[in-house]
Amino acid sequence: MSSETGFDPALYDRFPTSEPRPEGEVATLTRLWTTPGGWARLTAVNNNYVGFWYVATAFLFFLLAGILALVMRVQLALPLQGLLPPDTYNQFFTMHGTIMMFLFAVPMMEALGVMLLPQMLAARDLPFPRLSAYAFWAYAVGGLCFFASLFFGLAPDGGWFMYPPYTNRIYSPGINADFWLLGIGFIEISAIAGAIEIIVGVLRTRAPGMTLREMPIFAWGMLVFAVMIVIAFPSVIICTLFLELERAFNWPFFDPTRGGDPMLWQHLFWFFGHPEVYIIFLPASALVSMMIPALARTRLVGHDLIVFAFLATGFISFGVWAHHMFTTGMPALSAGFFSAASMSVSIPAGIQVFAWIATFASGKPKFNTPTLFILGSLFTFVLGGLTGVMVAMVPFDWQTHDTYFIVAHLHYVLIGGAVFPMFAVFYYWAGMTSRRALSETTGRWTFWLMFIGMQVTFLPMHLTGLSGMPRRVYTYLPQHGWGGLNFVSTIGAFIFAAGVLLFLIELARNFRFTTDEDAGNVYGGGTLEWLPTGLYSTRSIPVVRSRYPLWDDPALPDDVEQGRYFLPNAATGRRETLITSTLRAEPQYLQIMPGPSVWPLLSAVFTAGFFVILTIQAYTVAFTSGVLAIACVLRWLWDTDRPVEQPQADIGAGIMVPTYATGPSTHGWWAMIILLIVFLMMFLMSIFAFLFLYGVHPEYWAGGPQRGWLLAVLAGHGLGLALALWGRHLLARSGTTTWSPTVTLLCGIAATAGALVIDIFAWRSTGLSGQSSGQGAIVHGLLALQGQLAGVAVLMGLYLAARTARGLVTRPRNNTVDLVTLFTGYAAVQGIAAALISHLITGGA
Amino acid sequence: MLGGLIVWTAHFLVIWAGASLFLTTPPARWFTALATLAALGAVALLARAGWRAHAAAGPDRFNRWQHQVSLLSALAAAIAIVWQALPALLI
Repeated sequence: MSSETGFDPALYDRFPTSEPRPEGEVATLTRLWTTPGGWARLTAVNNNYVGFWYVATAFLFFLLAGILALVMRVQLALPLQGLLPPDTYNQFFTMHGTIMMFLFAVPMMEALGVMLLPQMLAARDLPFPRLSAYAFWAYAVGGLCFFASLFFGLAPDGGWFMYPPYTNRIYSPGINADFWLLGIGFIEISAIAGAIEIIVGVLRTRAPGMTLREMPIFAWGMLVFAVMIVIAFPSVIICTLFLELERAFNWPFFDPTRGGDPMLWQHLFWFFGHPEVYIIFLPASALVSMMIPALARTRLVGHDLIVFAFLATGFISFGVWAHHMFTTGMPALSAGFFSAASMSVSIPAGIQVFAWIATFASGKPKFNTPTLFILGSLFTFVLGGLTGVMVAMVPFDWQTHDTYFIVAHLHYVLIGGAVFPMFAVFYYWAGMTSRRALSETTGRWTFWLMFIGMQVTFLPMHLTGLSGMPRRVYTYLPQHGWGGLNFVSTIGAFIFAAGVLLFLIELARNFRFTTDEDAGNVYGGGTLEWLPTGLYSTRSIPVVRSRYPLWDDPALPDDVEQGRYFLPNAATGRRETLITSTLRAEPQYLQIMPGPSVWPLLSAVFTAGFFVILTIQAYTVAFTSGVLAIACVLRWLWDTDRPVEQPQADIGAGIMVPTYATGPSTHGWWAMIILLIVFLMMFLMSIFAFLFLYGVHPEYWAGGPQRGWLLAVLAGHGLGLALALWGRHLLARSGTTTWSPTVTLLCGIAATAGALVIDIFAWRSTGLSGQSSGQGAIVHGLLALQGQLAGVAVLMGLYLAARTARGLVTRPRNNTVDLVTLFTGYAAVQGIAAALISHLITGGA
Repeated sequence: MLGGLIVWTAHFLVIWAGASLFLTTPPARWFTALATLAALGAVALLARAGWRAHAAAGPDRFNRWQHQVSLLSALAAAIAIVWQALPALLI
């Protein structure tokens, strides 16, 4: 067998070990990984707790958005109903869509990842447990405040995709739209934080021997999901930022009378919005692929093809965004390309569906509740996929665009593709988190009520749409003839709700959360999450040699529980997990992990506070909250990046690994690179906006600053980059103090920040302001992005200086120095690219 | 492993940019044809490399799997690229 890191794979043959383990190891693990009781439990960072809270909160938002849907269905049951006035109806459908997409679907998938992945990968926890806790609390606190806006009549009312000009200051003068634009901010931060955690977790904390080939299919799904978030979410960050800047400062990004363009919003929003559908579907389908082998009692047919289908979906889904814009008058050839891509994305989805059917056909399935939900999901999703191919055809889309046909299509896809699988997941994995399994009898009732309710609600909507009923109308006239179909849909919605209600009753009857006395592997799954676990995950970390280790090695649970594999104890006396290599999962080093802390909770509360309070324009309080959030984050980081006394530790069978590592192979470096990709995507989207506005409205573009300004800006950023690299180099050089690299890096940061200031003055010299034109807006948007980078770099520099002063910077290598260098270097390079583009592509020649 | 899909993405972005610049005109069609030939050439090279690596992978299961996925990615990308370019002939 080949090696990826120089680790000798023959060492795996030492496991399972045969010597008895010393007494007290389990007690030590239990003590180290325990969570505080009472209110202090809120400071827990273990994935078992955070994952469960995350799932529960996402489900709460599903219920809240569902209640909004029921009220809307009552309003539409008959023509000219007066239950909801038009303004309130607008708020209801906007909040329903926004909550379902941003506060339920994406967070639910991340929550399931946080809850299940460490156990499936046999890691002690994901690599940044405090980041998971932060992501959860920011989402929970911010999401509840966002929902509360409904009670004050301040909820957003521009639809979940908030098209300008409806949502500009003229047509939406209140703060409702601001609630959406700023409220989405903390959700974006939370989603990206979770995505970073998942990518690094999947690629770097797998059990030894679990190569990408053996990796559980859910981990594949979550990996593609998280990468898609990293690529797609920056686009929505940029468009919400631009619209808020337009509303707050009158920068005309989307105003065609001043060189902006509302189509820019549609491009930026749907570059995020359509992949969002697959961001929701992929993890759900991965969960289905995990459950089906156990339910059909055979191995998954076409495992490799499904992995390929995930990858293909991830790519193709970024080539379909403009199919939401077929009716906007785009060039026929462009429409043809997007139509072709939209049809081809059904191929990978089809591969998965056929693989599932083949697995059921080749196995001996039991028709229990999870199986029923999966079959219901298959039926419903395939119907949604077929109507998806229909609307991918441009002439058909012209007829049905913005009608109830689309409402039916998207609900078939999302309920079939995500909601039914989620209920299957609840039943299948309840045995992992509850003392008692859920009842089969009530499960079947729940399924049939939800399945029938779903079809009765949404099947007639195809006809309602084909009859011409537009979406988002609060009522209709009797003579339109839509009353009968709408009435049937409303009955269906209540049947569906009855199924959900029955499930809630079942939860109250049987679900009892636990971390160690669970009901167990009720359905006979073959993957690692069914090993015996405590808060420390598995007692020891097994060597993985197949895709279904529990089926192929029935002695594995006992061997793991007896500590016969890797890390059977706390080798350094602290919380720790094994970091393994990306492709072949070879042991590399031991990561020391943080324990419970109040700082992620507080920083999340203040982050959510910043965005929510900003909405009501209490600027002083909002910025105070923002400063406190940053202070809490820095305080939480202060305890990290500290080597322990033992430079090496025995991780089992005499295999020694380092306890501190630096450089490109570390999990911290990986996380920073992913974060920089987020910034890069934000920058690329801004450059797209720049070129788009230049191409569409060149007549509004004026000349740029004198060339001398450009040279000064480039010199400043170039100096910043050089000093950053030199600073890192100095850390390893003898004859220098730890202040030498720190001061050099601080000078590099100052040079980059100085270059930004010069750039601002350069544009001031031309008289171009953010309000002048589309060009002014986008140039100042780029400057604002650069300012954001410079601000973060300054904070990082000051943090590094504080650590240097306290003697926390280690030599010859140090992670904090590495990460500050990376960030500063990136800021300088982006500054150079932004300056070149904005100074060289100008008008007025 | 991702080479074929990356080529598909690049091809898509290039032909979309071409259609946005030249609209629905003969130059756009020629541009699409050229980009498609270039992409197919790149995919053919990837497929050949994948095939050779797969044949030379030996008994190592992971190596064989990795090259198998690469090959699959290249072949699927070839079909997808042709499909993606068809509108230039049909519209």
